[in-house]
Amino acid sequence: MTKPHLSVRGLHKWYGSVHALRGLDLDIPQGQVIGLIGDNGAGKSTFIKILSGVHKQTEGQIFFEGKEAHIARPRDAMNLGIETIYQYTAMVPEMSIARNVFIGREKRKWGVRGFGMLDHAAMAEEAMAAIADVGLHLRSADAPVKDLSGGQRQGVAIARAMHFRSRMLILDEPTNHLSVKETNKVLEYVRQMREQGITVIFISHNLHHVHEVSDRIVAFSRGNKVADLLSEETTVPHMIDLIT
Amino acid sequence: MHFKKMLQTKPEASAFLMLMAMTFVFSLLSPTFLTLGNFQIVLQPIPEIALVAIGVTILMISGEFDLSVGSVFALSPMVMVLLMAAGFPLPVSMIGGLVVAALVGLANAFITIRLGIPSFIATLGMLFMARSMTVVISDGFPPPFPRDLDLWWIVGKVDLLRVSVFWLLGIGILLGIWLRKFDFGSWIFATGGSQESARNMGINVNLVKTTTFMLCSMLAGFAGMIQVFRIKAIVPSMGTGYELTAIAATVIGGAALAGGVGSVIGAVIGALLLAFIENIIILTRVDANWFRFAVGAIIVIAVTINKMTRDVAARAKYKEVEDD
Amino acid sequence: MKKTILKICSAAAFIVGLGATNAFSADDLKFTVLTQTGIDNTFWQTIKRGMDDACEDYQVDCQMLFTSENGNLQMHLQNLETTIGQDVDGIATVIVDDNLYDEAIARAAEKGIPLITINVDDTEGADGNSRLAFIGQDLFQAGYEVAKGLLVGMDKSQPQHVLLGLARPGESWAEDRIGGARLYLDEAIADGWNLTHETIDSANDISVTGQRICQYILGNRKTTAVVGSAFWFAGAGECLRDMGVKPGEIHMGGFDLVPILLDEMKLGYVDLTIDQQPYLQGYLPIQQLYFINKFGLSAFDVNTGKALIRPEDVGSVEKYSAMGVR
Repeated sequence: MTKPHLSVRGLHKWYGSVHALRGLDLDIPQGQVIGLIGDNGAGKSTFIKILSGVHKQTEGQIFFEGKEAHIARPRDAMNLGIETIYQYTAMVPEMSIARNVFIGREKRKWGVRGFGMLDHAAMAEEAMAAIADVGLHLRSADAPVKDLSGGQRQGVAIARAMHFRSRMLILDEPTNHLSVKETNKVLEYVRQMREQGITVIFISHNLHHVHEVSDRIVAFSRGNKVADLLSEETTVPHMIDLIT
Repeated sequence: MHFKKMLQTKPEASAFLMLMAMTFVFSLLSPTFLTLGNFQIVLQPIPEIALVAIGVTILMISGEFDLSVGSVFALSPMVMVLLMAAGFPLPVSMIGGLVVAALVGLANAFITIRLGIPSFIATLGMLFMARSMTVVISDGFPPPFPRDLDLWWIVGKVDLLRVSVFWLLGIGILLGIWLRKFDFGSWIFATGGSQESARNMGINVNLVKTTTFMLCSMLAGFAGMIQVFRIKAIVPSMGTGYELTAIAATVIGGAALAGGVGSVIGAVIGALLLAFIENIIILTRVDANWFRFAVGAIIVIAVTINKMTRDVAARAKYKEVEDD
Repeated sequence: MKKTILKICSAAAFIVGLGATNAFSADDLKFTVLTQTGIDNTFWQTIKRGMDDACEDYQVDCQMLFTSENGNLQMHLQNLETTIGQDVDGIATVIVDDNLYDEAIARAAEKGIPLITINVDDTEGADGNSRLAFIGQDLFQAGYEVAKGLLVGMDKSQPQHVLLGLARPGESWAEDRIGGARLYLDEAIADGWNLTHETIDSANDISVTGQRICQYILGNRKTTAVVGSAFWFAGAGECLRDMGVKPGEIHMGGFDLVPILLDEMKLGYVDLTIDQQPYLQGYLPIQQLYFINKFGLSAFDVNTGKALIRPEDVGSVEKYSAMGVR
């Protein structure tokens, strides 16, 4: 195994009296698709919330690209190049596609962050280009995201991550409630990203999707890692055994 | 297609159409309605209620409520008048009043965000507290308003209008630009549209909401000052019930109670609609006991029309953003 | 006018003296004053000032109970019942509904708690319930007087149209005053005046009421007079000036003394107001309740509101208004 893209050592998370992560050690190799599986409460969503800066670990260290990383806020994660795409809370439905692509990272004509005049034209143009890059064809960047299908939204979110040159992408249940056609499209996006050398953490309850697209499978149970194997070494029935 | 597109993307569009339609119908109902003299009267309190509605609208876009605006509408000018009575010059007194308003907004934000109380409840509490403070600080007897002040710059008459209308225009345009063209404005929409998404994308939603809470209170305080300047009297009960009028104007103007949708111009149109409705009821001499019924019925009708046009527009729109 | 003030002053001086001599004998008498309005009502703050002064003078323990918002009768009733349950030594309250309070007042009588109505009484007066006395304005009579006073300044040979502004439709104090005014206007019509009148819901907010009156006048240019059911109508002065209405063209009259009303009077837009002397409505019930408790004296009605104030009286009134006693 090459030098890991991201490592965590002794990661603990307490929510009040609930011990959600219990001393996790994990290495995630560069440029692979990691399937993260586990039953509800196994700690996988706690883990990605820590990586994306929504929560802070109670104890333990995170190393990203060889250096210790301190992730206190979502912006810290994004600045490192870690982008998380949540199934339901990646987009603001009432806002336009262009605004969604640049949410929190708007392009300004002038001014400083928090008090700057938006550059609408540049945002629309770059958003369309980014979306086209992932193979999605939308007519206008001004349409509100609520008019898009679930698969299209995933596409826009992935285009956003690509546009901001993320080096690690965390996908939280990206295929939930999608049609078969759209699911295939999302799995296709994941393969595209691996080709471009981006590390992907793929979280899903659908073990078939995980198995189909992942290079490695990491299984969580009761707040810790219980398995870390190559995809070829396991089967879906075996994965079910691991997490139950 | 363009027209329907506008109906959907501009929340105030249907309110504007309604305003036009009502103006037309009302002018048939009463020959006085469309006269300059009538408009001069109707427009007088518009800057006051519209400024309150703008604040409530921006706050509602960010996903929160403020029921305390009617009380701040009295508290803030009361502080100002008391400071003036204590010998401070007008600008200092005004700033003092606005600072108190901002503090009320900050308290609303603190209770809502840090203590996790829904803003509906937090500001309901503030409605009572701020009203009580208004009476307490004046000891029940507000000092007489100094009538000899030069207030031309804020409520003076320019032909048919008051200078306060230009204050409304100025503040409205600035806030409209801020909301639509500035990154912070975008964050306000994002925070109200989906707080989790905004937070996940690195927006400091607490900062956004604290800002909109404080802005809302300060606009209400400033609006109260304009009213005090205009009628040249301060009574502790002023502004009672304005929170409901402001929310009505906001909703008629196309803002969504759930947040993420709304516009400054919509708030102004909403305030105008309410004033026109009241005006036509008086001009057509509706029986005193039916007055509130008529106001209430028209609010419901206005919002229903608003929703229907948007639904129709949304359905027409659905086919348009098709992909490959 | 001056006489009235002199009278009040000498009465006050007398009472203060009395209070001082009785200071020792006053033990823990507890009186409660109740209203259906909120604390932001300036008028009631004057009543409270009267109450506070009397309680100071007679060394009794007093409390005034407001409601959280104006016109919350249910809360007022509940406050009244709580007070009766506390076995206080005396109660002064408004009665703004003819039936709502009857049961509670009867219970107070059963328990031997003296109860005096102030400011607003049952429209049936003493027959309405078992209260001991009423201290306040005869509202209907006062409305009648305002209309009468307004017509004095108007021309019987010309057609006249009077706007009656009903501040709170359905609340007896407002309905009574406007009803009294209406009665006088109807009598005037019978007497040969070429007169019409109309009632609108004029609201209870200076800004809103001013707006509504001006809008009405715009739509009904033959309007020559306005009767308000309280002081809020004075807010119309500003917009009447905007409309180019000269002082004296529209005769306005109403009730109570507040700075804006006095200002409009000086500017010539308000002809008259009837002061109901709220200070006395706070002071006198405490005094009576004290005498009832101490010496077994009986309560007596006082009509505090016959003071008709015209522009020439403004100077002398303003001085006391600033003191918070008028």
